[in-house]
Amino acid sequence: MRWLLLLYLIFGASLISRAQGGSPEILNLPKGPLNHLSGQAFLSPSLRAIQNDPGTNPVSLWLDQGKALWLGQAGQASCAECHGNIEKMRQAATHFPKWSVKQQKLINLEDQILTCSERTQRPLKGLENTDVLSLSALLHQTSAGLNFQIVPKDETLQRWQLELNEGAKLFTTRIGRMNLACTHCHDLNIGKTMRADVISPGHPTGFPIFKLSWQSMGSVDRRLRACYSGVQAEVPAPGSPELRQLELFLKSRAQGMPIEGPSLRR
Amino acid sequence: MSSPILTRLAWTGPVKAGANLEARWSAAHPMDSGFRVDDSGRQIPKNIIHTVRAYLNDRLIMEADLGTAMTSPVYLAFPVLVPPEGGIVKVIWKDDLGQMGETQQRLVL
Repeated sequence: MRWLLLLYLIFGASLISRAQGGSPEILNLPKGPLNHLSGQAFLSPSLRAIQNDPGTNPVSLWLDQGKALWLGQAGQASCAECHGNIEKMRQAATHFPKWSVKQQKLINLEDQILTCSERTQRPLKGLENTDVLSLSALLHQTSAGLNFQIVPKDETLQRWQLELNEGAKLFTTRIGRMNLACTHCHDLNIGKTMRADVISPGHPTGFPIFKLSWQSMGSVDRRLRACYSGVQAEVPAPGSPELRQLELFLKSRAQGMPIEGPSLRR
Repeated sequence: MSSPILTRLAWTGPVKAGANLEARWSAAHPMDSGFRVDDSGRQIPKNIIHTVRAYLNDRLIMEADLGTAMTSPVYLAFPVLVPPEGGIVKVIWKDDLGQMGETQQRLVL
């Protein structure tokens, strides 16, 4: 009988570990509530190793470009001419999205980079433009370790609150052929698998991201559109107000979590 | 002007005369295999980096013929034996659209 028990323990245990994946790629999520984990906790060990080495991390390509643009190549306008050393801009990425009185809409950091570039000799086009993402990556890298400062200005408080409420409404409203709201995955089913992916709480602390399935960098705008597509809803146009309202809500939801700088995602 | 193709060249370890470094070159090229379609269902023509050459002080040290299975961003690692006088490592690439690029990095002793 003892033999049988031993055999059962050995083979039974190995079967269970195989059912859980059993490979070195398995995620070691901490015990207890998962709703305060950043996307970093959901990276496999090998992806984390790639991310931690600047020599293998693809984000380095965009960071290098960001630095080159900031300092300016010969004869070109540079960001540093007006803004000075990048270290002075440490707070920049923490304040977005914010209500722009001039444009009468919510703008995020990428919108601001585009607006800023229009004042130069070399205006940038498109939110997912390589240069826009490079500068966004650099600014987020500079802000790494700081918390989001998602607070309204007194004079636009009412409008800001309306936008935040809209964002919260979007987060909890069912959409698409899958008839799901953000909250169904990113509040209620964190840590469970959706196909081969483990669902994270969806905190936007690691943007812009290099997503392996895109084979490119992308902003939070693009990532949110991918979610609309994932639940088979009509995908809003880049820069749509609902994407900014969602971003505002997500960042205020992630209050107290540090910005991690541009990150690798699956 | 289309977006620039970002490239990067770096090495591991300290640069010393006689040291054997690992040079790492990467390029954020779309590497369209020719099998993918765009949002409207049209096939995206094949456009990959097909040739990469690395030179150390203008001497060819590595040549690679890449195929459609190559990842994007392209990532290649190759050994570089640091000459006593130091020098310049230069990597050039060519793609199917006829675009070319060059990445240079100085081996500072």
